[in-house]
Parts: sequence; C-alpha cells; structure tokens
Amino acid sequence: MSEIHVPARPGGRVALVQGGQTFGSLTNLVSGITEASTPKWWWPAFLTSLTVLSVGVGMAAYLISTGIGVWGLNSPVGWAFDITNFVFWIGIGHAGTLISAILFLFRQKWRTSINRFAEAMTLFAVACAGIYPLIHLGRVWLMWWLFPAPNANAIYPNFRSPLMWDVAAVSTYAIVSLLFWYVGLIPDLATLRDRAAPGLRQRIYGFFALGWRGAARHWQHYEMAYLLLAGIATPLVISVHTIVSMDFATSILPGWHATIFPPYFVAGAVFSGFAMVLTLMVPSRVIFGLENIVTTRHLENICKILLATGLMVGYAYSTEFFIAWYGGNPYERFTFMNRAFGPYGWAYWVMVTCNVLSPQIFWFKKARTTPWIMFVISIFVNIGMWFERFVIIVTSLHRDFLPSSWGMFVPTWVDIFEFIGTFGLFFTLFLIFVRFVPIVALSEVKAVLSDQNHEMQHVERAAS
Amino acid sequence: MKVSSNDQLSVPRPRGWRLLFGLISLSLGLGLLSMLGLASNQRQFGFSYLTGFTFIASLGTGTLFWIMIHHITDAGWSVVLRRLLENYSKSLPLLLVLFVPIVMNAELVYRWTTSVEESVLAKQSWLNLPFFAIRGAIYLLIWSGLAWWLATTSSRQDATADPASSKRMQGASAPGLIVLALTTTYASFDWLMSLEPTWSSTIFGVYFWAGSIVGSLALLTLAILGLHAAGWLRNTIRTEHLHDLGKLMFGFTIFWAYIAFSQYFLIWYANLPEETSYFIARRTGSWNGLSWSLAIGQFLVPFLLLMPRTFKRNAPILGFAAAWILLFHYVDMYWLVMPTLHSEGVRVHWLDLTIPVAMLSGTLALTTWLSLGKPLVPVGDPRLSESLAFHSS
Repeated sequence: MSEIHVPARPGGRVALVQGGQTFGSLTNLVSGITEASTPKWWWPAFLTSLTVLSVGVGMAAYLISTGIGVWGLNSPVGWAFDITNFVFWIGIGHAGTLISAILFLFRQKWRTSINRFAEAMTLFAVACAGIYPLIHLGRVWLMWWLFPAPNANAIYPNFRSPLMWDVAAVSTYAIVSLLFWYVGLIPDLATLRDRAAPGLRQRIYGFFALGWRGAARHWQHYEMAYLLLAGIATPLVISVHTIVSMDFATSILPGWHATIFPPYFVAGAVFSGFAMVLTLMVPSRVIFGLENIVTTRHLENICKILLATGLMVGYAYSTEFFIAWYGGNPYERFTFMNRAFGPYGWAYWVMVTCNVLSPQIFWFKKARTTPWIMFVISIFVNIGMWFERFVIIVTSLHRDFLPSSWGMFVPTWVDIFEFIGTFGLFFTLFLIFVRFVPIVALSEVKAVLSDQNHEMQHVERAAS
Repeated sequence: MKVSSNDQLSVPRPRGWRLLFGLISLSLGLGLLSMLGLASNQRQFGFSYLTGFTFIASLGTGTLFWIMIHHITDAGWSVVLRRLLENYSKSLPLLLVLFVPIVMNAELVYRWTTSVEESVLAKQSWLNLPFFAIRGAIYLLIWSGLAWWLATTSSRQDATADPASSKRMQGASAPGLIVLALTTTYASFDWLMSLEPTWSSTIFGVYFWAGSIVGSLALLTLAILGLHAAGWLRNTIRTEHLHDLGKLMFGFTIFWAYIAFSQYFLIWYANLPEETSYFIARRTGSWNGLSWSLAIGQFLVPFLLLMPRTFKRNAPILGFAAAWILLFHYVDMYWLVMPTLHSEGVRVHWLDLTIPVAMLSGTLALTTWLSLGKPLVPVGDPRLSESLAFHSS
C-alpha cells in the first residue's frame, strides 16, 4: 500500500492518517478496542503483571515492617536504588507531557496519535516513582510530616531542602497531568457512552463524560481549557525534573554539583520517556491494528527525537568531563576519573554505549522505519537511562573525600525485587488502561484527518 | 498561493545603495572614532571590543542556529523568513577579520596570558595564546563555511526550484547543529568564561547559546519591521509570521531566564568560594544594580510585553520588545565581560557604544551588499506556498 502525501506533489508531507480512513472507520477502530470481548492474551498478561506487582507490595511490606536496612544502602552510599528508580520513573513520565503539552504548543499535529497513550504512561510512571520517596522514609506512617501541616511536635518541614520542593513539584505534576489527560478524554468518553447499549457500561462512561454533548459551546470551552492546561503543564514538567536535578546539584558533592544539571536532567528525562513510548508503541500498534493512525512517520519522528535528546545528554556528559578537568578541582577530577575507570566503570560505559552510541543508528532511515530495530534501541535507551542515574548517584557517593570512608554498594534481593515490582504496577495500570479507555485521542485525530481531507480537496481543485 | 505580485521582493537598487552607503559610513565613522579610544586607553578598548565582538558573534551563531533548526524540523511556516536569516549569516566571515584584534589585545584582556598562579598554570595546555587563536579561527571558519554553504545552496534553489536542494540542506543541518553546539560552547568558554580563568560553570555554553538565540530572533524581527516600514515584503511576511516570532521570543526569553537562574541559584546555594567569586563580583557596588536590571530587562519586561496575543500582533509593540531584547542582550554581554576590568563598579565608556554599533552596522552593510537585487524570500522553496498561506493561532 503506498503512502498518502498531502498535498500530492513534491514537498508534500506524508499524511498523518493513512489507509483512506473516515471519521466512522476511526471511531470503529479506536472504540472497538474497548468494546470487543477481552482478547485472549489480556488475562494472562494482566495476571502476570498483578503477580509481579504483588511481589513489589510484599517487598515494601517487608521493608516497612523491618526497616530500610533490608536494602543495600550503607555509609557512604546512603542513596542508591531507591533514588535511581525514583528518577528513572519520573523521567519516563516526562515524554507524555512533552508530547501532549510542548508539541501542542509547537503545533506538531503528529502528536495527536500518540498523546493519549503517552500521557497515560506518564501517570503510571509517576505512580511508580512516588512509591520510592515514601518507602524510603522508613517510617512511612509519618509521611504527612512532608506537608507543611502545623503539628504539636513543633517540627516543621525544612523548606530550604530540595527534597521538600520535590514533594510539591511531583504532586502538582501528578495532579495537573491527570487533569490534562482527563480533559482530553472527555469527548472520547462521550463517544464510548453514545455507542454503548443502555446499561452499566453506558452509565459509567456517561458519568465520566460529564454530560458532554459535543455542542459548539462545549468545544469552545474544551479548546480553551486544553490550551491553558498545555501552557501550565509546559513549565511544570520542566520544573519537575529541574527540581529532581537540584536534589543533587544543590549539594557540594563532586559529581552532583554541576550547574548544567537542570537542562541536562530535563533532556535526559525526555530521552528516556520517548524510549519508553517507543517500547510500548511498537508492539501496541500491531496488536491493536493502529498502523494507519500511528504510522511510520510517527515512529520516525520519535526516533529523531531520541537521536536529538541522546546527543543532548552526550553533550552534557562531555561538558561535565571537560569542566572537571578545566575547573582544576582535584576532587572533581578524581570523581570523574573514578566514574569512568573506577570499580563502577562498567556501569559508566554501559550508560555511554546505550545512551550516546546506540541511538546513532537512527542516522539511517532504514533504522528509523524498521520497527524491530527501534524496539531494540528503545530497550537499550531504557537500560542506559537507568544506569545514568545509578552512575550519577552511586559513583559520586561511594568514594568519599577520605579514602578511609570509601565503600561499595551492592543491591540486596529486596532492592532488586522492589524495582521489578514497580514494573508490575506500571503494566497492571497500563493493561487496565488499554482495556477500558480509548488509547488514541479520537477527536484530535479526526481534526487532523479533517484538515488533511480539506487540503487534498484544495489541491485537487487547483489541479483540475 | 503565489508570492503576491504587488509585493516588492528584492531591495531596489537606488534605495539599496543609499542604505548600504549609510551603513558603511556609520560603520567606518564609528570604527575610526573607536581607533582614538584604542590610542588613548588600550585596555578599555580591549574589553569594549570583546563585548562588541561576542555580541556580534552571538547574533551570527544564533542566526545560523535558526536557519538549521528550520531545515531540520522541515518547518513550513518560516520559509518566508529564512532568506533574511541566510543573508545575515553570510556576514559571519567578517568575524574572522574582527577576531584579529581579540588575539592582539589578548594579553591586556585575559589574565591567563600572563598569570603565574599555580591554578592558572595548570590549565596552560588549554589556555595559551596560540591554541586560543587557532581554536577561535576554527570556530569562525566552521560557522562561515556552514553559513555560506546553506545560503548559496538556498539561493541556487531560487532558479531551479529543486526539492532535492531542500533535502540536502536538511541533511547538512543535522551534523551542522551538532558542530554549532560544540563550537559555540567552546567559543563561549574561550572568549568569555576564561576572563576569570579560575572560575568555571558547566552550563556556561548553554547560557551563551540561550542569549544568542533570543538576540538573533530580536534582530530578525527588527529587520522585518524595518523592511515593512520601507514598504517591502508587507504581503509576504505578514502579522501571522510576526505573531509566531513573538511567541518564539517569549518562549526563549523564559528559556534564557531558566538557564540564568539555574546557574545563579545552584552556585548561590552550594556557596563554594571558588564559584561564588563570579557572582560576588557582579553583586558588588553598582554591579548589583546592573545584575538586577538584567533580570528585569532581559526577563521580566519582555516576558510581560510578549505575553498578550494582541501585543505580539501589534508591530510597534513587537518592535519595541525586540529592540529592548536586543539592547539587553548587549547588556548581558557587558555584564559577562566588564566586571573583570572595572571591579569597582559599572563604568560605561563611550567605546561601549561606538564599537558594537560600528560592528553591527558593518555586518548589516555586508548583508545588504550581498543581497542587493536578489529575492528576499526563497522563491524556489517547495514549502513557500505553505508559508505564504500560514495562519498563526
């Protein structure tokens, strides 16, 4: 099948909706995913995820009942898997907001096919991330101390600590992301409601559709609300990873204290998030038959963003190294030499290989248009970005200023199974999402299709 | 849609020659006047010259960045703007000539050329005059080469209207942007950061880049409004395009503030003596006032001015905002350079006015000369109709 171009002449762009779709066929395709009977693979997948999740819950219960000593943390490595996994998951979330908010402000219409999916991923990733700071508290029942609630103990949160800003930033981000996602969902939920036979299903979708009837006035309010939320979410998503970076960069620790951290972390977050979008999207578009909506052009764009953001983190790695030498501080120099050639040197080179070298294959169009290649690379990037956080956190801590206080970090089985458990949570939520919620922003794709048809007619009229 | 036939697409010769003559006279006049300053106070001249040079260099690299970012993203809306950027970027080779006095005055400006401090000597393999000069020449040659190749390829497309040219320019822009990012970073380390040879900041290159992209947008906006005032391109570059330029200036004003704040805040918070020295110098005496004026002038004022939709679509207000941004971009360069010379406080010298104006009018004269009689929009670009029909929202 040949690709449709708009307009059909040199310089025309590849159409975003392929395969001669109409409004009706799009509605049937996307709504059909939630309306068809449960696919055979769904229950086994769901039960597996649930099992993995329960392992994570078990680990958390063991940790809370016993103490955080069951993790491999020690002195000097007081932060390791917990914060690594927190930053890893938070970073993954960023792609969703980037696609839904920042690409919206940049009028990138290709976002409409993947934004719903990516935003859902954001919410689930933030949920996974949120676990770690809580259970790392040790006495999780005192978590309310994190909030500025006046209390009888005369203990008040230290607002000068970036960890407190994290609480505010991440929870605000979670709420705004949820609102943004939900506002975008309303017209599509109404579509599902209208297609459902009278009964419980119709009542539930009807409840969440908030009485949407598709009136012009509804659309006008919806568009304005969406634009405003995009405007709010854009600085918010940047602030979240900026503050995460400040958890490290406000310290005076060599390897953590670098002024480039805020933009470097934001770029890394987008990089890791897009990798996860690709990991999930490559199989999903085939399983749900979405190839005409999430086309090769969409995948190619994602690959290009991976290449660009991979180069940005590469820029940060190299600049840090240069300045570590140029700055002349012996501790800084040692930290970076130790990072690359010390006992955790292997982790550093895994990071460089996965994050900087592996995306270079996307210079080739063949790689950008071959799903299995991008799937493999996306897995590499997921691994590389996890190692990036591990390298930053552990290698900066494990060799203290005095060699007498040097140490090593080795994860315990609780560390490892807790991390695996978060994947259980992520995929459990994800499987529920694909089963009950329209996974493509139907009304937005229809708007793209409408523009596309309009332009085609225009060109045809001009030609005749 | 075709380019509107009642629109003048190239600068007509007689008026163009008058403009060129004016710019050259201004440049030469102020340039010669500045020579008097060189004779009377060579050290002041060296620093004022560096301020002007980095200002002009940042506008050139910023322009080159915009050309390549438009190519690489396959942007449709901005095609009508691109030729103006390309024409300005063709003035980059002039910087090779302007770089010579930087090297000649280096011993008066850069402490590391003569310092015997141990911490400075430790960097001698990087901070030494021959290598500094060679690196500078390499950066400038790369920028000039990129700019000329892109501009001439685009000009040739005017006649051929060959879509393959667009593909070639797009392909070259990907490695081009990588090279530009690295060279701009190291140029800012060499020319500006090394003024304080014991101080360093990993974000410094990004800071310089953030200023340069917003400054070059402001220059482009002013150039368009100038052409409009003279009656050219009014129906080609419309309010829709200006509105988008306003949005971009708004966005990158915030980006500059974000980077500037990140740098200041992390150094302030960690409070390490080897790093805070930079900001202590800029918060002492009247420098404190200038630092505040930078925060207000390069962030708050354009942020508020460019927020309302109606302001972005209003030529006088947009023009005022662009001129303001360009002025404060210069103040930013001044703020980076001058505390090294005048640690006692802000001492504005008349050379701080004559040198940048002489340089800017020089680059604009070269731009005008190279674009006389040629179309001011890429008439052979396959995306031109898309750009002409563009509607901002």
